[in-house]
Amino acid sequence: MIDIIETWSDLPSEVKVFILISLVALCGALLFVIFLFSSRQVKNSLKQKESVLRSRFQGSLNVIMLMESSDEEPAASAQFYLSQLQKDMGESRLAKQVMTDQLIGLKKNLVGASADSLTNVFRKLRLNAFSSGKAASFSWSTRAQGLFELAQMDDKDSFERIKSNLHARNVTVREEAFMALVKLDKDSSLQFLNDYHAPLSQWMEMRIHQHLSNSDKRKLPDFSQWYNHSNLDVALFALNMTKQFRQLNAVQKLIALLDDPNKSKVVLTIDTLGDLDAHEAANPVSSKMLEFWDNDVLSRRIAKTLGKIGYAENHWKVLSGYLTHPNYSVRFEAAQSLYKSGNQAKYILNRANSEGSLTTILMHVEDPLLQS
Amino acid sequence: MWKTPYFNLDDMNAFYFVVNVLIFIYAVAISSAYLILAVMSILEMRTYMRKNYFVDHKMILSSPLAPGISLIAPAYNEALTIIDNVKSLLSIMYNNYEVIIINDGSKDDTLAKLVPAFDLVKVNFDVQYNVPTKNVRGVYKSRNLAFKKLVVVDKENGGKADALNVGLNVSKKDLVACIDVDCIIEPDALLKMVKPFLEKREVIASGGVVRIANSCVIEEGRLIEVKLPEKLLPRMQVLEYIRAFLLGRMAWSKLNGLLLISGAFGLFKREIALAAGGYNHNTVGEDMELVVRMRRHMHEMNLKYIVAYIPDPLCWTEAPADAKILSRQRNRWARGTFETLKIHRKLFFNPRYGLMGMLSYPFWFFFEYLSPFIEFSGFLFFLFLVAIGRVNGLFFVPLTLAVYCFALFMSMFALYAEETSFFKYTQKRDVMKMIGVALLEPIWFHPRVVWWSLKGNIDLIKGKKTWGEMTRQGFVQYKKTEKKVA
Repeated sequence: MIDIIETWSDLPSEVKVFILISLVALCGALLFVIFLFSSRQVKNSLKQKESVLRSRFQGSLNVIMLMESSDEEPAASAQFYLSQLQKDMGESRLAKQVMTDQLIGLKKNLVGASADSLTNVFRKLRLNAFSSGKAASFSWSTRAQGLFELAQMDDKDSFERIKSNLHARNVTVREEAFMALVKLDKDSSLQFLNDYHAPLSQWMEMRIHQHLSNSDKRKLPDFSQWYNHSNLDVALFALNMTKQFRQLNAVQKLIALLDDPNKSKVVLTIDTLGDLDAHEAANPVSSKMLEFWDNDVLSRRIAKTLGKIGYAENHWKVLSGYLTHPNYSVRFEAAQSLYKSGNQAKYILNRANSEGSLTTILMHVEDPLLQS
Repeated sequence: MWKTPYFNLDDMNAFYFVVNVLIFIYAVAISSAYLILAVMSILEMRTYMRKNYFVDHKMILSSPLAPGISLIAPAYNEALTIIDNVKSLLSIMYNNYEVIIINDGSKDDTLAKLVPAFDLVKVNFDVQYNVPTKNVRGVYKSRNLAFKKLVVVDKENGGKADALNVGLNVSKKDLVACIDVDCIIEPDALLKMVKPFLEKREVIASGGVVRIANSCVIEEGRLIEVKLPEKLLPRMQVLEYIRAFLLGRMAWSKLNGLLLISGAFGLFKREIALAAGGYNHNTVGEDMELVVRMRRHMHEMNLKYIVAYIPDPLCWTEAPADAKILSRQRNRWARGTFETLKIHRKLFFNPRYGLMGMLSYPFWFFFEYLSPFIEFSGFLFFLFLVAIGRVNGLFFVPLTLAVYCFALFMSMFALYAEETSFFKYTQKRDVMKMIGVALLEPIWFHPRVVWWSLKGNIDLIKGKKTWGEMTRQGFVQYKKTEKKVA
């Protein structure tokens, strides 16, 4: 030992550094190997524990789900199974998490009484307190998980707690809070949007749309109330939802939006009018031709929409005007719209092609296999 | 006392000292850079995994709000596997998409096989040459409604970049996914790749992890079971890919400094790709070049943008199984890197291009492009010192050990990252094998990679522009062999 220490002290300092680097790197590599195998071990044992807990819970849950729900006190047998679940779960966080995940998983595919009984189980086992605790955590992922669980299990009592996360700094927490509110706010759907000033991504729009698609259509809000929202994301979302849920009573408000200074709103408005088959908007839309001539995107949208809602010769004349537009996709869209608009429009289209400048476009739009 | 007739001893000592110090500084800089990137990658990956705890990607599948995607797959002499490959692409989980197969003037019967298999007929597609390309001979669509998402374009041979540009011209969707036709794409790959575009409007491109599929069980274009390659060379590449994809790109994505999205599978905004001018025909590294050009375009237009990256293994490719083919691939990669760096040399430490100019580009130049030169020069210098008897064993052994141990450490870090994230190699003996590979790689595989890269640069000076033939064993062929063995 003394020899080693003596040899070490005799070594030049550069050599000592290299040896130290080697040792540190080697120890690091060995540690990673240990972590790697222990992580695998932990993962496997956790999986095993989860599987045991899941199968233990499933039996009791199956019985509870099959029992008829009522406003009265649960039947003695239900009480028995609940206490059984409580006993199985104990105070273990892992067991509580497994149970929560299991309830969410089961509830996803159920509606009516069975789904309600699962919500009841969630409350009776005080898992709402467990999820609420998570929703107040400092860790963003735990907090988001808590919000997600509360929403999935329809815990309306947590509405205010969730609402306080609506302007959280972390985007995932914000998104989960938003989705939780959408899910829980069943009566005055989406009213919290009035005060919503954070960004609203396309991903969120998709999630909200999916949720609204599965809910009672009669309770859908009138999306036109948000067309002039100070948050552009909310206004665009409202336009998109009007289109998706075909809210025909919004047509007049949409026509007024054609004069909006924001171009992205106008683009979406024109699209929406087309998708709603709002023939009454054909004149206002066609009147925008010259104003937006230099904007390729808007010109293309007008050409496409007029193909859907145009009905008179003056609309087809606007479309034939677009056949000389400098942008190819605008010309193409106009030709396609005219081709689909009946014989008179087709005649205008063929006349515009008297010099053959549109021949290849015409061949394309006439090809049956290329019809979109 | 050692003396030479030509040099003063003090001058020589000063020369040795300067070279040693320069190599040492470079070694410390490159090691620190990789270490920092690795730590950042791990942290970013953890965030990604936690964030995606809540995500149900299948929701995108049924949503009418999902953006349209064109899958562009160039095919050159792929007659052997083209039918299976197209079927695999047509069965991807996504609703609003089309598959555009570009037959890049194949000399074999690629097109002749496609026509009857998918009941294709020539249509009057009005092809616009938004990006100039070789002539398109015809566009084909299927009469069978089951294949209505399929578009086959037959064109004169012009190389991969040219074929991809035709795809960009023909595409009608907002997003384009450029892929290698012989890759195995995970069924939910598009659902995952499209998500960054949905989350942030500024995203212009996204890339995913490419993994090696040699020896994996593949059936009808689907990956059934992940296995470690049986041969040593592809196994080495597995480790190399894990290290590169999990410990590097994730960090660059976090910094928004990613310059490379693998040509095997990348998703781009079509409008931006076209505005940037499409793929460059004059480089063999067209995948990296396009990303750099798109980024440059956004900078020059003063537009905010993000190049996203997701760590999920989404695409599986067959790695070269013999040294000759691997050498051609690495030769091409080296040439591609140099060509891209040369084309965009304006970015070098140019503050106008933000992080890309000040960090990403210099990193690629110093640590990706120059590293084979430095490593090889270091080796030559070492041989020179051996020849003149100036090697000090007391320094040499600990230094070599330190380099080796650091390489081992990084490989173990990568394996740990894989284990705690995607856990694809589930068998314990696979992990043991990978540890063995990590022990062997720095002395058996890495020197060869350095040599092939150098050769690539020499070929570049000689004016070599070709891709180099890439013979593949083919997954289907593998499956048949397996059955025969069974």
